[in-house]
Amino acid sequence: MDWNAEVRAALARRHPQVPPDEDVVEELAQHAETSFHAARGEGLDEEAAAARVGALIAGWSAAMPATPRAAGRPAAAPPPAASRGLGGLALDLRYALRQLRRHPGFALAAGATTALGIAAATTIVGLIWGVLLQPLPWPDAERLVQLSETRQGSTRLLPPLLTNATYLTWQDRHRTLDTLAAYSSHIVTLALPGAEPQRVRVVEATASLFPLVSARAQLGSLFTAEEERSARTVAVLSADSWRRRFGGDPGVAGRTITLDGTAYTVIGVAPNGFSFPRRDVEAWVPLRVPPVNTPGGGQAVALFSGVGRLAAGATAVQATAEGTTRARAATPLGMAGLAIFGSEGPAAVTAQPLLDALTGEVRPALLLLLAAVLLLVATAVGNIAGMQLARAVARRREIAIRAAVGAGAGRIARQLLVENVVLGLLSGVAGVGLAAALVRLLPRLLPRGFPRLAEVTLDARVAALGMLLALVAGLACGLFPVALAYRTRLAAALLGEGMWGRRRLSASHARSLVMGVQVAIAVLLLIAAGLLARSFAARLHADRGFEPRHLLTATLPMPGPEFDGTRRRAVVDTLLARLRTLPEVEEAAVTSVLPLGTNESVAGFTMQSAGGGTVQVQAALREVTPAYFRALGLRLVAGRLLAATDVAGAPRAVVVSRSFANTFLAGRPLRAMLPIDESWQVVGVVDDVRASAVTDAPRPEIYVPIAQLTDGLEHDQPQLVVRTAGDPAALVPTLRALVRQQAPTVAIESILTMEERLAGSLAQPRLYALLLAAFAAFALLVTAVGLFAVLSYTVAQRTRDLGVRSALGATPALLGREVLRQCLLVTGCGLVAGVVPALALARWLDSLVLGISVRDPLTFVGAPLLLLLVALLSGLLPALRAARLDVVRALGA
Amino acid sequence: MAAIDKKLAKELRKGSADLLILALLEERPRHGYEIGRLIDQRSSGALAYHVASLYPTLYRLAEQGFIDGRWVERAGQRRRRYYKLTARGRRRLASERSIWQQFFLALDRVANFRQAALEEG
Repeated sequence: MDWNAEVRAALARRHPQVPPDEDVVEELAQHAETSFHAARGEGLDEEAAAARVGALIAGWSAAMPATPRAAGRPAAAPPPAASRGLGGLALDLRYALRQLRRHPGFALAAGATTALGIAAATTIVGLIWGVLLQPLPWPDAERLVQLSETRQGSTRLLPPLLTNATYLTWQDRHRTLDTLAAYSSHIVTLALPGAEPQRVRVVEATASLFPLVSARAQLGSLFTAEEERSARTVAVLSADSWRRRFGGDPGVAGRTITLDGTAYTVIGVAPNGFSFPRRDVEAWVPLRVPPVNTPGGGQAVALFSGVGRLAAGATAVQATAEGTTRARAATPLGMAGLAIFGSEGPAAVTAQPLLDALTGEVRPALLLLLAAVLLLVATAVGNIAGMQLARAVARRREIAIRAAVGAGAGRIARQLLVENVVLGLLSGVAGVGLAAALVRLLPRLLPRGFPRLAEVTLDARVAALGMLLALVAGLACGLFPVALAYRTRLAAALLGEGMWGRRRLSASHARSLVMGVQVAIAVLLLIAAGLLARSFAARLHADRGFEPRHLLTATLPMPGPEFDGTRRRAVVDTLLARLRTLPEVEEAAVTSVLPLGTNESVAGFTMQSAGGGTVQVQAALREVTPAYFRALGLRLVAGRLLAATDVAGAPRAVVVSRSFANTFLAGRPLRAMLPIDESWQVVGVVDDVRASAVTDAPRPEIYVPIAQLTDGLEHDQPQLVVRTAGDPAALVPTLRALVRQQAPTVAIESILTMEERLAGSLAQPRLYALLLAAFAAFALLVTAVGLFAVLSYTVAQRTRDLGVRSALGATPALLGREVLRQCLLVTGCGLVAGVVPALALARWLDSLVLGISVRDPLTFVGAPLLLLLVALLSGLLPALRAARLDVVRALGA
Repeated sequence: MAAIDKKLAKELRKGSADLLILALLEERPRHGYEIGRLIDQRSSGALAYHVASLYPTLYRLAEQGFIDGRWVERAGQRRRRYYKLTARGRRRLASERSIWQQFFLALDRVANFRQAALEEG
């Protein structure tokens, strides 16, 4: 019996004009009900008990005054004061923590997902901050510019360099720069009394370098313009080198060090922590910039790096204009300029902010990683929001009850937000902690030569940004259940399942939308990862014109004046002869320049063209021993290779590359004469070698036999190439021992297999591909879990619906297919939403995707297919559950 | 005279009902049904108190600030309105009790009137 209704009716009869106070109604109805049960307990039958209670109610209504509610007494007690204002926040926090403790599985899953995302994002942000944004470690670093020059119409991809012609003409009376300096970095052999010779980095620099970066000697002095001009052999030690090699000896000035066989007098020590241009410099020695015109009437061309400090108020653009004007007024370099730049066009100088110059190469990759990692966080947030949505639906009764006891929608929203923000911040702390560990590992994870790695730390700002991201993620996760709380008709929620049709639909729509976005993000990341991975594979396996397997390479530094051309040849010949006697060695050779090596040499000359005119030739010059071709596995295209018979006295013979033959010899290369210095006859053509990027156009090359060079082996860093029968790395100890025994003064270095060199040259693309693949895999996993959850949730929600339809004759297979159809619909929409922008955005990747098209069909078809497969697998279990639905149980549910 | 008696009886009954409720709430907070049942039991009907007037009395006492009613939720139970004695109610109970004791003492001396349920306090 509804006693509330009875009481309400009785009171209304007594005072028809005053609506009864619901509190009074409730209190009296409770009394009535208890009395009814008491009467039944006394043995009265239902009718008699009801009659007794009816009389009771009648008595109440007769006695009740017209104002049923006492003035000043609210119908329901207001929420405790603690739930308002900041006190309420404490309450919300306690409640949030209790909720998390009560659902540890959810808290852990959501927390771990967010923490991983935050860790990845914070690490990348830390990397970007340290590498791209943080000022360089020199005073006024933002005013430092890298100066480089080229010639209009240049066909060369040269490292940034300045010629002595430009430097000398710009050195005085510069307006846009207040200081201009030249430097050149070398690895040299350092010999100290009583120590093994060591290869160290030494920088030759003009005296102006030190004022340019405001460096003062902490001991002794720095070298002066006078010392620079007179080319005195003095050296300034780095603080680190002074401490390590000289024990911080205060009397180090005046001592002597030997660099590549030349004695240098130490004159000072650089300040602590100072280095330029990189951290591992051991010493600075004067760089004398030679005049272009030499006394004998010849020309001397020197190439080095240029750096300037902008004058106050000047911009890099102004410096570029001034530099270009000055360079065009400089002494022409003639043939040498053509050889260097591949063009005789007017000079063009560029001043680029030093920070951009140092980090420009990695910028696109870092920005790509940032975008990828933010998408990753977004997709993780999407999953958690989805989980929260499902939980909010499950918690609808709790929410409705809280609304019923006086909690306003705003209050409930705040509670839900606090819950998510607490979770977000906890994950943030874990994520930032993980990022701190990752940042410390970065130097080991990132390829060698990655700029400014030593300057990457996780400072407070980056950590704060990570926490901010966590906060935003938490808020975003909370928005879904909050929106739901606002939309929920709370009273209807209390009444149960029956009233839920419309609302349930919108909740599941919201989840489908989230899923679609997740699928889109996952396919976007998959495509990016696919492009980078395919590009990496294409570059790794590309035909480079030589066979990189079973090759060991090494540098044999033989600097002058200790070594001259004849001496070098003697050392090399002995070494090669000994190596060939080893059973594991198939072939051994020496070259001046190695594919994937670090040095380069160029020849420039004029010769008769096939059409009768003259043609200006620029070609890469390789001085080799005859076995070089077999050792490297170069393919002969025409004629013959160099032979042991091509020695001094025999006709001078060269082999050219296919592109040389096609570019300069009109495809009829054999017996052509090349006036390089003397006249050389082309005896053969080999296939092109693509050393660096396989996408670069092959460059014309000339192979010259060392045995026919007048001055012997002029190159002071010959490269050794050994083809082995087995693992080339196994030969390393033997090789070292052999060099020690045959040439004890040669500090053999860079002993690497050719595959290691290849891997090193591809380390960055490989890393980016790996990172993006990891991100994409994570996004794929998150999407698969999300799809599985949303479909399972739908099946659970629609159990009754499916049961009814099954009872009406729908076959289980049909129901299963319907679930799969929903899965495919969501996935399909997501795929379209991901692939279309991917097609549009792919061109941003063109600096990272080499060797394949940025719209590589295999990737653009494969990635969506993979995702579709994963989506089908995720949908399979829920579909089977729907198909195997027990009709009777579903209807009873 | 009869009218005066009737009026006195009414006042007495009303006063005693107030006193009873305050006395019952002195021990601990109770809800309406419990209060009604206890009055029934302890007065053994001697005060001829009708449960119908219980709630108006409770609301009036609350309005006067002698008692305070609050909805309380307990695990597994329906929420109920519990009434408890306020500080003001406690003072009222003390003074009522002494007045009534003097009154009953006087009555006792005159008519050997039996104290009914006042020991309950």
